[in-house]
This record gives sequence, structure tokens and C-alpha cells, in this order.
Amino acid sequence: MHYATPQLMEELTACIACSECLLACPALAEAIPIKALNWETLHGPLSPDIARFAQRCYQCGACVPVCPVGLHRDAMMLWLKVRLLLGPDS
Amino acid sequence: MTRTSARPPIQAGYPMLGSHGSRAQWLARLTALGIGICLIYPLYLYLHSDDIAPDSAWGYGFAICGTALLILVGVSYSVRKRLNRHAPIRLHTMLAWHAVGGVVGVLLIVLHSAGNFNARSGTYALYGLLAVALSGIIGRLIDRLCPRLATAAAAQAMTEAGEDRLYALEQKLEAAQQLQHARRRARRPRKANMPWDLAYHTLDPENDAIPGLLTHETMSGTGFVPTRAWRYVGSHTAQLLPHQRPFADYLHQQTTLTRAAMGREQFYLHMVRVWRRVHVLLCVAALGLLIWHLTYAAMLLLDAR
Repeated sequence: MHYATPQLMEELTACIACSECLLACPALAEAIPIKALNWETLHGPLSPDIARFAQRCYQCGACVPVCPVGLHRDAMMLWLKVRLLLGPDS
Repeated sequence: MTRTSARPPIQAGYPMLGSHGSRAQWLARLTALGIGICLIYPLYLYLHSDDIAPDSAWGYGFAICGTALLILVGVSYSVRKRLNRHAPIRLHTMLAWHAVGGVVGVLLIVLHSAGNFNARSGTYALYGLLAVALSGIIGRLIDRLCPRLATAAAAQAMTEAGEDRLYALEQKLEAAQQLQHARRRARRPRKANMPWDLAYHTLDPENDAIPGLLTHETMSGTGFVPTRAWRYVGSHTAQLLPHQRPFADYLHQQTTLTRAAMGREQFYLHMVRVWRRVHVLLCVAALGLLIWHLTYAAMLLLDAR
């Protein structure tokens, strides 16, 4: 389910950048720094690597149970997908 | 000399079937294609030989290669997924080989059958494997299509500012209600016998004033839909004036559309996860049929000797 901005900001702040979600992801084809992913989820233009990752993410939810903080990376990725869909002005 | 900016280009757009394949996926596909091309000549020899049967030398070869490949790609992906997250090979790479190896393995098993589809254990095992391969192919299509559709639905259920559309409208309607209430209170003449002590004033809003808020004047420019407020309005429909009804209908329509978008989003996201379980269940069933067939074939071979 999608997040609203306050929820998303809370989760991004709570992320400890351990990258467990990325290690468990079957859609991640190339290494991506999780801090860049967190930053671009909410701010600024999307870099090509992260845009490709957002397109390839198929919301399987493999990233959720491995998170030691209990965050929902799938919902954050859905947000990123919405940004991608709506374009750079979103 | 002009200097170009090092800033990466802005990526926008989300095609319906997602991105092109990754390097790992293309490598796996090209390897499978290479294996297929290498098998053309042996296959030609097999099809023109006198011994085309599941229990021929070629048939056994196809069976052993196909079964070994299926077990290898199935078990390795499952183990990599569950046990070792810090392994040197990415899960994405393993998934690419899992998909390609699964399809090639099932094709080898089809060759092993040699067009023999009698009602025996081998035929049921073959049908099971075909179902697994088909569910995997459909699953890959669902993986590409459903997240894109869920994204479109989520975009409809959110405002441009990234807030939940229902919640945002509810907030705006409540703010408008409080403002209208404050205006009415300010316009009301102060009664002479009104108690000076604030404890005697009720803090509850005047419920009968809410239908009056549903005018284009108070709600113009909001563009959002309430949930709690709409339920309240729904229970006071009889109190609405004729000029307020079109806007109430508009609110009802917007609520329905937003809820439908949220329902679609949930459905598409569930579809991805439910289909994965269907694929795993079919794998378990096909494995059972395969073990049955192998046991049956082994007994036949032992009896023949």
C-alpha cells in the first residue's frame, strides 16, 4: 500500500542504511548506495541507476522481512515508482 | 571550450512493461540460445534415427540433462534466496538463470517424452513441469505489468503533494467546517443572559451547520474527498438544500473513484505475491509427480534386468 509524505519521511529517517533490503532484492541488477536511494526517493532528479531499479522492482516484498528496523522498503519503492510515472516535476 | 555538466540526466517515464532486461538476464538468454543452437544437430540426428523413444539412449540423455538442470536452477535459487544473502552472486543473477534454466530444462524433458503422451506417470510429471514453466512465464509478465498498474492506481489515490487523497480532503473539509463555525459564532449577537464563565459553553461543533458547509464557496478549490466527513454528510442528505446536492454528488463520486483506485492498487500488489505462491505450489506438486515417475521408471528398469 502506498505511503503519504509524513509516513515516508518517518521511514526514511528511521532507515539505518544496513542495505539488507537491497541484498535480499531479486530485482536489483547493479549495486546502488542505499543513501542515494533514500535521498532520491524523496528529493531531486532520479539517477539512471535508481530509475532502472525502480522500474525493475516488482513489489515482491522480499525486502520487508529482512529489515532489522521493520521498515517497508516496498512502499518506499512504490513512491519512487509514482515519481517515475509522474515525471521529474512530481 | 564549453564544459558539459556531470549531473546525470533526469529519468522520467515508466513504460507499461518496465525496463529492458539487465545484463545478467541477457547473458542468461544468450547462453540458452547458444545451447539451443548447439543442440540443433544432435536433435536432427535423434529425430532421423530409428530409436525415437523415451527409453532410448537419447531419451535417457534428455531426461537426465533436463532433470539435473531443473533441480540445479530450482534448488540453487531457493537456497540463495533463503540462506545466504551475502553470497557473491546477486539474487537477480540467480533469478535470471533460474528462469532460463527452467524453460530449457522443461524443453529437454519434452524431448525426452518423444511425443509419447500415454496416461502414465511420466506424462503426468511432464504436465506438472509444463504447468510450472507456464506459471513462471506468466509470473514474469505479471511482475512487469502489475507493479506498473499498481503505480498508476497509487498515483490516482494520492494528491500532487504526495498526501493520501481521502485524508487530505477530510482535513480540508474539517478546516472549512471550523472556519464556517467560527464565522457563524462571530456573526451571532451576544445574548445578554449568556454566562461569562467559559465552562458553560459547549465545545462541540453545531452538527446541524455541517450540511451548510457543503457549498461551492467553502469547498471550491479543494478537489478532495472526505471519508468521515462524507459519512456524516451521507447521514444528513435529507437536510441538504437543492443547490447543495450536486456538490454532494460530486463528493460521493470522487470518494468512489479514489476508493476504487486504492482497491486496484491492493489487487495488483496482491497479484504479484499470490502468483509467486501459486508457482511454488505447482513446483511442489511437479516435484512429487517427478519423484513418482522416477520411482516407477526405476522399478521398470530393475524388473527388466
